[in-house]
Amino acid sequence: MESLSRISSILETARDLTLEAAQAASASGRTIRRDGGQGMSTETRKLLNSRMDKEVLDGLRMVIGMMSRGMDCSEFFADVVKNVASPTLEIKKLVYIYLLRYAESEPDLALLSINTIQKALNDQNQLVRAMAIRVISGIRVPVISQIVALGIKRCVADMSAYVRKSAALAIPKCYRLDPTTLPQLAEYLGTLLGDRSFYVVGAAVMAYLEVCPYKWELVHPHYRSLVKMLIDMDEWGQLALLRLLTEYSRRHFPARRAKKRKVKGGNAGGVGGFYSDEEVEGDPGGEDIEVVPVMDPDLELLLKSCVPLTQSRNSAVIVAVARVYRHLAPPDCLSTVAGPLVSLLRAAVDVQHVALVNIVSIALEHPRPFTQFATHFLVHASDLAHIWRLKLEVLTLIFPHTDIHTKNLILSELEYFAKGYDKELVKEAVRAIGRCAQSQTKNAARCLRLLLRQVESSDGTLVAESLTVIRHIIQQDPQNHAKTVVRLAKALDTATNPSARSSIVWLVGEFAGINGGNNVAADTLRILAKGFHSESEQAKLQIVLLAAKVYAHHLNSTQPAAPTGESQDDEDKHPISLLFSYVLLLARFDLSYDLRDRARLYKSILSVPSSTQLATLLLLAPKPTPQAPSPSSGRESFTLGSAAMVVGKDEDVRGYEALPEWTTLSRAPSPSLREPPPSSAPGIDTQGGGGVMSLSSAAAARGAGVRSASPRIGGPHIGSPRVGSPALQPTVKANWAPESLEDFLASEEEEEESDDDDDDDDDDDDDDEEEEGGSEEEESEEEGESEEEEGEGESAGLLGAR
Amino acid sequence: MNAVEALYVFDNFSPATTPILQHEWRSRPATTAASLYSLYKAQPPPRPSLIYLPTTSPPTLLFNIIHNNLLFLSPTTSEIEPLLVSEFLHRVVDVLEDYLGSPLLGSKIEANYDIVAQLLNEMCDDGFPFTTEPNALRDVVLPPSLMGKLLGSVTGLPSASIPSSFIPSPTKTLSTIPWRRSNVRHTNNELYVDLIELITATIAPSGRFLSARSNGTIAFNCKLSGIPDLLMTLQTPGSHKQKLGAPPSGGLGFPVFHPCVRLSRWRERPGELSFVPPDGKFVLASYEIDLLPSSNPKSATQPQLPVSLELKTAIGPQSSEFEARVFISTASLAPTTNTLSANPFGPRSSRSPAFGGSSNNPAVEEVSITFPLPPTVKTLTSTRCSRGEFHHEGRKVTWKIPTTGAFSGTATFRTGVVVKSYGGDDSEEEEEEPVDNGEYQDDQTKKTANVNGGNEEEKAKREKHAKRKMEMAMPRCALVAFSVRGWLASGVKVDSLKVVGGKGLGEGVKPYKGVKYLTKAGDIEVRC
Repeated sequence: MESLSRISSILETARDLTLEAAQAASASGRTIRRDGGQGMSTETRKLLNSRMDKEVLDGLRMVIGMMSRGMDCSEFFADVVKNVASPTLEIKKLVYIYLLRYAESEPDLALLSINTIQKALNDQNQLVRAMAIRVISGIRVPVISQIVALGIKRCVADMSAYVRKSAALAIPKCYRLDPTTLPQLAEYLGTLLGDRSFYVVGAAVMAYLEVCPYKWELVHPHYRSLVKMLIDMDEWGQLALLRLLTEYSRRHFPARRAKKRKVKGGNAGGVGGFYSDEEVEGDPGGEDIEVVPVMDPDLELLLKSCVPLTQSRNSAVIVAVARVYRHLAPPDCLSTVAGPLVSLLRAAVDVQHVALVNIVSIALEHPRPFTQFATHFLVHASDLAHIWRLKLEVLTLIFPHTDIHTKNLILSELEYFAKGYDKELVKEAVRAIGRCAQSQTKNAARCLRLLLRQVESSDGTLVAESLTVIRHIIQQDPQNHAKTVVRLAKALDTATNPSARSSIVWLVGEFAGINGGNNVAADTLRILAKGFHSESEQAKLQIVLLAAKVYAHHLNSTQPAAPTGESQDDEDKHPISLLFSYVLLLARFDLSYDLRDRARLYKSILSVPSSTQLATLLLLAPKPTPQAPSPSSGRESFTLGSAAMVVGKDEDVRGYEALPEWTTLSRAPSPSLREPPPSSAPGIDTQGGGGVMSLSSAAAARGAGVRSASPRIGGPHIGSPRVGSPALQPTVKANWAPESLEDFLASEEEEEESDDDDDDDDDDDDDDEEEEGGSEEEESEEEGESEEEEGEGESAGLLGAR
Repeated sequence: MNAVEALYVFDNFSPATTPILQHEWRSRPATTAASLYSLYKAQPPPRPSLIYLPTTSPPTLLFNIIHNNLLFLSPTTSEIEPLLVSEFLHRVVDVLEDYLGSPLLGSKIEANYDIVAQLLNEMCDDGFPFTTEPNALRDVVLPPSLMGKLLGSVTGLPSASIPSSFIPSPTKTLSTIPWRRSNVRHTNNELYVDLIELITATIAPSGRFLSARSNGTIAFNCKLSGIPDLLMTLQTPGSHKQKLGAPPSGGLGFPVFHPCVRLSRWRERPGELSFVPPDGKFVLASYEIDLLPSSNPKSATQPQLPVSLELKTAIGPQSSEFEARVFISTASLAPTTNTLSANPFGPRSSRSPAFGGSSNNPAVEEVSITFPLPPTVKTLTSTRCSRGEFHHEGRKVTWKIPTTGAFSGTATFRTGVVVKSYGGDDSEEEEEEPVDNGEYQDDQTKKTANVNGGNEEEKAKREKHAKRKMEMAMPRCALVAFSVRGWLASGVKVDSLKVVGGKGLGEGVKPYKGVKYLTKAGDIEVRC
């Protein structure tokens, strides 16, 4: 999604940035000078020690200003920290910001403030409590690690979700302070992961990933509730959770096992899916046996609940969903994420770049999903180099899989850029044509025609690059390209670029041996010998080489008949040997010593019949087929969406870990681990503090008549779970379809018919919903809950049946 | 791992290499801001948004964005999702602009360090993004204006005597909706919607569209009291029942939404957006629409744009000129306009309150054509245009066509090109000057070689060379930019916008609603 600032700049075209900025610049120059003055520190100190809040605040603002500019403000430590007990929230906040920055350097003085901050942990105001836990955990004085741990414990049980969220993020800080607190912290984490507010869970997942990313036993019982909460979290929580779940799935779902499975007509439905594996394992000898890749239902749940996230405004979330699909789902599901990924190209340049890197890495293995978006990858004149490089690469990757019309489009596009004046772009475009030819031999002829047209261009870069690519194409399939070589030889009449000429000559030389010497090579040599003096050195070298090759072929074809004793006179009369000695003669008197040296080498090696075999090995050895891989190949091995992938294959990004391989069936833990624990409600023990406030706020939200939105609204800050409500336990419906909260809401609205959470059956118009009152609201909610209970009962029944 | 470690902001106007703002979320980074800045500057432009610096210890991933004249640098020393940092930086810019006023300038940051520090502290905790919703931040951090008020009223009172209830905000009750702040009150209830579309298109030399897309954004400025529940219905020209995730058809392609939008509602009835809006400005949704109705070029009707361009290169006696003809016509806008004026907001809706322009009478504005020039072009001669003015700078020439008085019709631009010579001879282009040295040598030798060669042949050859050289000096495309108020290229329109529920908005209060449409084209590439 476009950022708001970009949109408003489009809307307010008239604003004159430069003028305003210039004015501001002159003004700011003055302020800096004033701030840098000598009497500054005494003045600040005086303000900080004032009895008046306003002056203290002014003083703090000065200190914060200096801090933000990067000046050292440690001299004010005592004066600032003195104000930590101030009842004014604004002052408190600024003091906290100061403490976070400087407490480390003055640990002893900082300790004096701890007591006050600890008191603030009990403040009535949730903001103060949250700030207190953030500061006390953030000041990096190792002595207080136990105090911090205690503080976290208290805040984990806080009734305000905001405080719990802060506590979750305090856990990694505490861990860094003192790693021995880990067992305690892990316990708190377990509690927080099961929190009812998605607001808190997001932060808890971040903390989990930071502190103990492999303590899977903390995740198992919450897996399903986490997946359900995914849709409602904030973007950052979604990102962390998707990262966690990707890793989790790889380690715990032995997916894509091709298993023998009985296809039962009736039981193929969703209900049986959950346990069908085990059933089949029981009787492997059935008659209807099929090899079917089976996906763990829990994994399927994750994949399905990711789908709505592709409509997130946050590009990182979209890429994270793509990662889930790329690494966890079968390849044919990739089309789900292809479109959303491509749609990121409408965002800012930085997002475009990362999106393209990710698209390329998927397309390297699975180009098909992207074929329909070919026009999105057309290069624009305004694209920067790192963008068009990737775009061209995507075009070549999808090329073999597109329809004929798109193929035409891509080729003409590449041809257009091949004729441009940006040398880099020309090179890249021609190489791209080459890759198109490589990928599918039936297109090679077309690409070749296209390239041959470029050979006569006056643009050196284009010609040289085209010939290199032509050479690659020909070498891949030499048999069918004899005619092309003839054509190229003809082009020698017109081509002027030295490297182009030498390239052609080399190619002709490579083909000197076909048809038993009955080819153009000797003739080409004859023509070239005429203009030898006017060639560039580069071309001359190749002409001499061509002469040597032609002569070697000639020797090979004549000598076996009469291996020795061939009369030297007869040999000399043959035009080829005459030509050879003529070229050598010309080369002998050339300016370039390199050329003279080579001529001498060829002469001596080819003059003695005994070394002909050696010469053949030297000159006519079969050349390996060159491969021009896609520039980004190798990137596909990285985890999608990682920085390591963007940086590239040569660098080693610290902290990057590849995803683990799929676990094997034998090592995978039992799915029953993921059953939520029967008794412990995911809510937390906040009965004591289970505040009046939270309940009232929930009521307020409901009374608001924003009925359909109320759970979502109430969610983040409704502190304590409603104690004793059985509906709080996550339901364990076997056929549980992923639901967004909206689905949940919808089912609430139409409670009669929404037996399961599929969204295809709620066609009811809810335009008139605003009339409904608060009491009904509550009722309906309860009904929704009881329904869930039913669902649970159902699944319990299933379990029993099994 | 996975943390945003610090943020440094540099002002591109000031020559100093010290940041105007630095904020570190984790313990002091190993690489200082100044050295990061010099390493950043050492990269050749254009710089990608993620720069890997292997030379620092530990190696650093340096994320950077530029906004106005401010450079935002954010270093990270370990693996992190790149887009997480990018999005976060964009969010920081948005929030700062929201608090300090747009445009965001270095001086504004310098004047409000305390606010900025509080914001950054709240937006990110220990390197993890914390509260990033502008409305949620409003609950926690006072905007500068309120801060000033607070300071003003405190003056002269000893601290003990301030009643704690006096402090207006941050409230003790946080909003229950993550994206909407609590206790919103407005004396005038207003609601402005802006639909903005950016057209990108590529047009082949034949005049056929290779691609044409419209990227739309729905921006809101919502000033409603309480917690209103809104329902907006969009009408798309194509099918209403577009499946999500389906390839772009006539409907909105790949929409993305603000978290406030109820996705299930959209899924059931595409085109209906039901949401409780945040307060103030926000972007509700964005989408893209393929203006080429089908991928098959034969059957497709070509999209009609109000500005079209015809580019002829290598014309004139020495084929050293090129000419562009621009046709501006508002005729293609008319049909859409009629349907637009029949929107359900009553007569007032056609007024565009925030920005001038009217949906009843769309006018083409800000037409400008840019020709990127090849590096071989030395200068332009005898440039003339029938309308407007042109400006040649560096490797491009921009031609601006004023459209005052609802201009429509044709305008022409023609210029000659002088090619850079490599031999030191600066005279004119009729003299044969081969493009590179190899060719030059070759020609010389050939000339001397066939002395008896026909003069005709020689001349033809020379002409061919000159022509080829001129071709290399011709622009290969023209970029057309324009903007139209009151018209959307895709034909999307707001069918209705209703307050369907919520509380806090008194009975009988009819909020003022305004809808505006704006189409901008900045990247229409006409090739030749």
